[in-house]
Amino acid sequence: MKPRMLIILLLALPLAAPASAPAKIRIVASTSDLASIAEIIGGDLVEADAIVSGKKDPHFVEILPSYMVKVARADIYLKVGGDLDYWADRIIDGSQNGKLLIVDCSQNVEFLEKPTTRIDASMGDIHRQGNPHYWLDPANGAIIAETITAALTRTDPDNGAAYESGLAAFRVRLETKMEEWRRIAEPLRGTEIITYHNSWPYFARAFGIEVVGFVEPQPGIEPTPSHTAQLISMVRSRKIKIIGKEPYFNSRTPESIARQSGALVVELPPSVGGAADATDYFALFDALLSRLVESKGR
Amino acid sequence: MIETLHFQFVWLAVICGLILAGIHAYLGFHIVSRGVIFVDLSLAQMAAMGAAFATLLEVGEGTAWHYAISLAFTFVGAGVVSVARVRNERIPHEAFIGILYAAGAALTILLLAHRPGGMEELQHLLAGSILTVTPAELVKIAVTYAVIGGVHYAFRKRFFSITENRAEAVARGWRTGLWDFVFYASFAIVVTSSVAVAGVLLVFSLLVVPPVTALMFTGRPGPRLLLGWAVAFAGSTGGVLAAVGFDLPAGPSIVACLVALLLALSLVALLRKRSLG
Repeated sequence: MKPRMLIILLLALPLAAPASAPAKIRIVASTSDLASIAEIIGGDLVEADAIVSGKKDPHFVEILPSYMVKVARADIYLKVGGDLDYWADRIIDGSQNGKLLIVDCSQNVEFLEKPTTRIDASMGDIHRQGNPHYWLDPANGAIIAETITAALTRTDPDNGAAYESGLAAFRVRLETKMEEWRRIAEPLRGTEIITYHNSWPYFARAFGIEVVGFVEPQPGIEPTPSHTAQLISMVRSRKIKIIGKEPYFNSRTPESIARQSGALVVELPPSVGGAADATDYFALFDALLSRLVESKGR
Repeated sequence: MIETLHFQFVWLAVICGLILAGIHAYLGFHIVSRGVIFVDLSLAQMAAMGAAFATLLEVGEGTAWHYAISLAFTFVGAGVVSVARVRNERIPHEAFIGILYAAGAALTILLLAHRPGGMEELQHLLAGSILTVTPAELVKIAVTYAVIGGVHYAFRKRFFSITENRAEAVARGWRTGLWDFVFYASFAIVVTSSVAVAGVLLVFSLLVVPPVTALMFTGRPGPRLLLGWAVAFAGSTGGVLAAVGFDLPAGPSIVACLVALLLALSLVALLRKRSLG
């Protein structure tokens, strides 16, 4: 058999499969958080996959062949938006998927830290719309869930009712969890911490934590000696206990600051899958709050 | 894997690899015969440093200015190399070339240190981004290399004679200095274009691995050039397909594939030598 024939046959195989099991709506999301919310809403009706696992930096992605293949098969692409996942466009272009519904999950989200002046590279990795780590406020999780539900209903109108009830269940659970989280976060209220990257303004606002400094001198720029020295004296004088570090950043500088100031480096996963216990969007906040409360208690 | 082969990006990457292989294996033939191996690594690094500088000036990637700045740095590097050759007999020429490379690499890091995402940019300059090459970029490098290839074909007698037997070329009264300048200038133009797409590592490997592999089998220029091309084409296509099969970045995958070919063929050459001798 000629190889071309073989390829055609292999491609035709899925067509010949029995049509008893209805095809799932295939979703590819830039980040694991969006994929997790889509899975919670869509349940068995959807199959969601993320390009960046929670252990990797969503700001920079080395594009691999499998990403294009994933997106080529997808019905919906969920973007974080706000310039965070600008790389997604190159994957979407490469996938040549004309039927793909591209959804910017940041629509309807109120951004924090919108630049008020002209921005240039000297200010670091500033995003024009504001800080893009909006999923870290549970209230924004509800907005993301609405956007995803609308996209699912548009793609698969027959199951619209199921997606609506998925959204309602998500909202109820989020409200219950939010009460629990507020209670757990009570001892953290007003606590000053520093973090590696400026990933936490939404989270800090939601739970009353004060992020007073960053290991990076500017977002996306490697730590410099003078900035690190300033941080060490600030951590000492304000008696800061916690240096939060996202899993994908090098721990050398945070550890060095900790050694010279008596603070503790705490790994804070900003995305689902960034730690073993951050298994879905709800567990992410459980994981973050338990780490912070435990570290504060030491 | 088979399904992935239906994507345009795979074939753009394969074509990109073949175009790069064609010009680099040819230039590498001259480079290796002239024994100026590390000049390419240094000049490729200078091109990368120029690209970093252009990025720092907020000049858009892929624009004519970006290219011009990168090319200017490559020319400065070429100038340093040729001046260092004549100035001091006691210091080995390779030492200057090595210093040029280290300085280029260090300055590239310093230039990008205060850029957001600078370290990722650095990795991009090293490893390239063949998998996301656009048709427009392909046309640009294809035209550039075709022009350079045309010039080299038109003056092939000069270039090959000087490479193979410089003393004879001098004896014939050819202006070897001028021809060297034409050669290194065209080399700089090629390297500057290819570093932007393929990265320093792949450019260096495509220049050096094919001619070295060919030299293990034959000394005659014609067959040597053809064998070099065969190795370069096989390595670049194999590398892209391996990247698709194992889901890896294409640039480093091609380098690994070229080196695997070199190892396998050197074993063949060794066995052949044994059986003959």
